[in-house]
Amino acid sequence: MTERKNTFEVELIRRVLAGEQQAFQQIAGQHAEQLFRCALTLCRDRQLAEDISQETLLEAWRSIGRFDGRCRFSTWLYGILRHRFLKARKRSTRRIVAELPSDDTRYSSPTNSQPAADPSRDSERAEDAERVRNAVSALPDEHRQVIELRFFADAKLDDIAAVLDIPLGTVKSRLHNGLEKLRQLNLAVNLFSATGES
Amino acid sequence: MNERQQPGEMQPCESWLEAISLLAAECLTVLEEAELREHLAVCHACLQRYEEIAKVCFNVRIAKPIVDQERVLAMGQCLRHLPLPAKKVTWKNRSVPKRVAMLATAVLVLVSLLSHLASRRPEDNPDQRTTIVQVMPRLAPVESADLQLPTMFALRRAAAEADDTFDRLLARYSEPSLLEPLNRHRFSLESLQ
Repeated sequence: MTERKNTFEVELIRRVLAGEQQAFQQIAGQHAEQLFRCALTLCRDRQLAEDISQETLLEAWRSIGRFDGRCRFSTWLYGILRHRFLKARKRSTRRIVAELPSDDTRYSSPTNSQPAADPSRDSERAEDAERVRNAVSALPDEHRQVIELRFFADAKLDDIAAVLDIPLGTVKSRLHNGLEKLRQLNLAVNLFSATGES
Repeated sequence: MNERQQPGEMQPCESWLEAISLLAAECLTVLEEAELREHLAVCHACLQRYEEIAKVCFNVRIAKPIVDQERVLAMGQCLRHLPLPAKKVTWKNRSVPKRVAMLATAVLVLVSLLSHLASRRPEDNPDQRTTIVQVMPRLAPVESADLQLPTMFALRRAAAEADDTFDRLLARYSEPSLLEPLNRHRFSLESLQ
């Protein structure tokens, strides 16, 4: 499945390199959400994250000729994203908020929002999800970023390394330490009551 | 790694801890996963740790915040009418034939030589020296410019030396039409004092 996806992406990139704009739109559409989630993890500001993701895609289009295929396309994009983030952080006077806005419903609802048979159980799940997100937010930045990038943005380890500009080994150890902290927290405070799996 | 585990001890093996977390986070390669699963099959403590971490991963994964898809789509709106990226032509992958390039270089050298010859300065040959400025324009004072007023400072000094009043001297040396701006000037000077 992954191999087929990669082949498809390679084909798309070949078309993009040939100057086919539609192919780029297609590939950008595939990565837009991940880029946005990554940007959100880095800056924790929704508007800034949107700006950074858009700038990343524009920059990718402008410099697509420099993509040499030595890394995955997503890794290359994440490298640009990091660059744009650092640039935006430098120029922006906007405050980088420390916490995600709790009143912003776009980022406070869990993904598994299918209509549930039992509404009370559904609300419990939502509460669990909120607790988990808060627990992740409360982690030290270095662990939080890696966990959010892996589980919220579905980024691969080398992509995370590219975004955070740290070695792969450091990504692994941070991921392990972050998960270990969450595990210990779950043992101390029951984080997942609704799922009944803690 | 199995040897490290003491019999009866429920602590997971130290060296497998990171791999267990990575397996739960689905970040191991096929080979690494197979190796770890072999270990998990015989090590109860590590298996228990894996189950705990896997639960954490599952719950973190389902707590993934929703992204407003409309806004994500809106981000792509700007990509609809993108101009084509400017292709940078480098000398390395040039498409100009070698013969044409050499001919262009020769023409450039010839043109630069000719332009050098054509732009030789006339000082080099005194016979061909041309006079650039023949008649220097003469500057003469204009009649109307003779009408000059003494400076305020001179008037004030003269008034002090001749025991005369400043106003009288000013009136003497001024025409009525010019008196008004001078008076204004005087007021401003006096206000400064």
